[in-house]
Amino acid sequence: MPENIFVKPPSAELRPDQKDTDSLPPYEVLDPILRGYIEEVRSPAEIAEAQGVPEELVRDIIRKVDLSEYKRQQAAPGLKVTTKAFGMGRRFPIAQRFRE
Amino acid sequence: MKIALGQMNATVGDLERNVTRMIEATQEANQQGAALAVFPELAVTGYPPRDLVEKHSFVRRTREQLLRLAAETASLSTAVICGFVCESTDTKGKSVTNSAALLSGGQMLFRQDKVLLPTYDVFDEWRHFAPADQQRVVEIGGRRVGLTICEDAWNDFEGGQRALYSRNPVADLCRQGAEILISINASPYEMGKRQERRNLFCGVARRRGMPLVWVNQVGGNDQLIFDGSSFAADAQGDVIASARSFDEDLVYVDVATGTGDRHDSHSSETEAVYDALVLGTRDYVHKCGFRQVLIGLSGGIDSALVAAIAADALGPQNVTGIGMPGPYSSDHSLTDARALAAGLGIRFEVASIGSAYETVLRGLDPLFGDVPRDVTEENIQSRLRGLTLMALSTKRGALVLTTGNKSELAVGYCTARRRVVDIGQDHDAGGDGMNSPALPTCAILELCPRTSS
Repeated sequence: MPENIFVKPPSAELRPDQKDTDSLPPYEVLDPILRGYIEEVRSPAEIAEAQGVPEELVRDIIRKVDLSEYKRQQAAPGLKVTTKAFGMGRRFPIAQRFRE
Repeated sequence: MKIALGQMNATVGDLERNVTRMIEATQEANQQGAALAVFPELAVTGYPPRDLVEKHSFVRRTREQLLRLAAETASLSTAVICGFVCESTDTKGKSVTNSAALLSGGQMLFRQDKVLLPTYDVFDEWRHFAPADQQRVVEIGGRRVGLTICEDAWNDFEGGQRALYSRNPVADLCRQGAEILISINASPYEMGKRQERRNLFCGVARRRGMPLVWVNQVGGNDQLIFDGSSFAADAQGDVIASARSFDEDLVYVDVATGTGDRHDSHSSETEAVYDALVLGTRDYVHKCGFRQVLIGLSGGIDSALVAAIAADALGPQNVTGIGMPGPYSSDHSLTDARALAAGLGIRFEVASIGSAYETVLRGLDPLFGDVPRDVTEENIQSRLRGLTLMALSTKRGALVLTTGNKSELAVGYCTARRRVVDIGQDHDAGGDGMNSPALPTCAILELCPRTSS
């Protein structure tokens, strides 16, 4: 693989100079939050403390996860390699009002 | 003993609102002199909560809301029975149970966990719940009451049928001297199910020689539509009280005198399935936080039926039909769609896919080479219609209703991401897509005369 693929910042390239980090924290911050919430079923406060990030950021990410359930239920089948695979492995209602 | 059947529409996860609805209904039942108000299975959480029950915060806040229900009905002379998710005290097995609570005087006087956990068809309860290890009868108003949760009472029938479970909770409660059976339920609708349930449960009352009170959830939760249709039967197995189908209701029965309110509705199954679809559509849209929907109107019968359902469910002012003519559309596609929209009182707009189709083909033709025209080009047109609807959905914050029927879906006569999986979304508003009500074509033809008047 060309080295540039590894080093360039992730972008959907749908707006001039768009970067993924315009709307999301960098993956080094995002992924531990997602792991805490999805794989380990931890609360926002626990995740914020463990990762040393603001609880407000954790809640914002969790809100995005909860509100995107409809997309996961309409997605093509994905291959499972983690403990909580979307699809068969994690089954949430779409029309639900529980918020952390 | 006067009992109120509290047939409520619970929103999954809206614990506070669900409990507030029960408090209001119990206050009303108290004014009517009811000794007991009975609410559906998992009424505090809504059914099915699915993997939400794996969250500690969900189970903890469910308990808090149950205690609020007990506290705010403490001064009433009406006791409450309702379903909730309860933390298991057992150190082995699943961490929660599907439970029924008896609340009176501010206390939880009694709890019965569900014995039989269905795991077939749409049910997945072994995934989430530990089964009850024991059953007891409970005395309410001087009568010995057997309390069952949905599936618990579905395994009591006369010989000839294959029992799904070796245990029969109804028989166990009768051995303990139960005089009344109270069954709380979240039993989803399907065509013919209302009569099947009544036959089954009236048979239980008759064979066991005791009155039975059967209370069901009403409302749409994702794919499932709960019809309500709660009722009570006397010891001869005759219906003595009944609630409406597809709407919230509060009906009263006196099991001592064998008298009660009769709110039977929907004797025709065609009317029933139509109102089921209206309820399921309305609740999905509203419980996801939307008010407006978009529907691609082709001038055909499928989209016409979906538009009629949507207009009834949401009000015509919240429905927009989009005509999307392509290079092969006939003139009557647009004229029929426009006339339909006028008849329903919904807005109608046109967005042609013709020039986009030409542009896409110009880009792809060099790659297609000399392979003859086939279904590929047909799919491009339906995908462009899907793209158009999704773009309008995101821009306007309106949800897209899809219009494929079950026969098409069965044989693959649909285009992935267009008819099967339309997505309407606005990321920040937390949009949602919806798979439209899927019906066999024969059911559509049966339903349409009902809506043309």
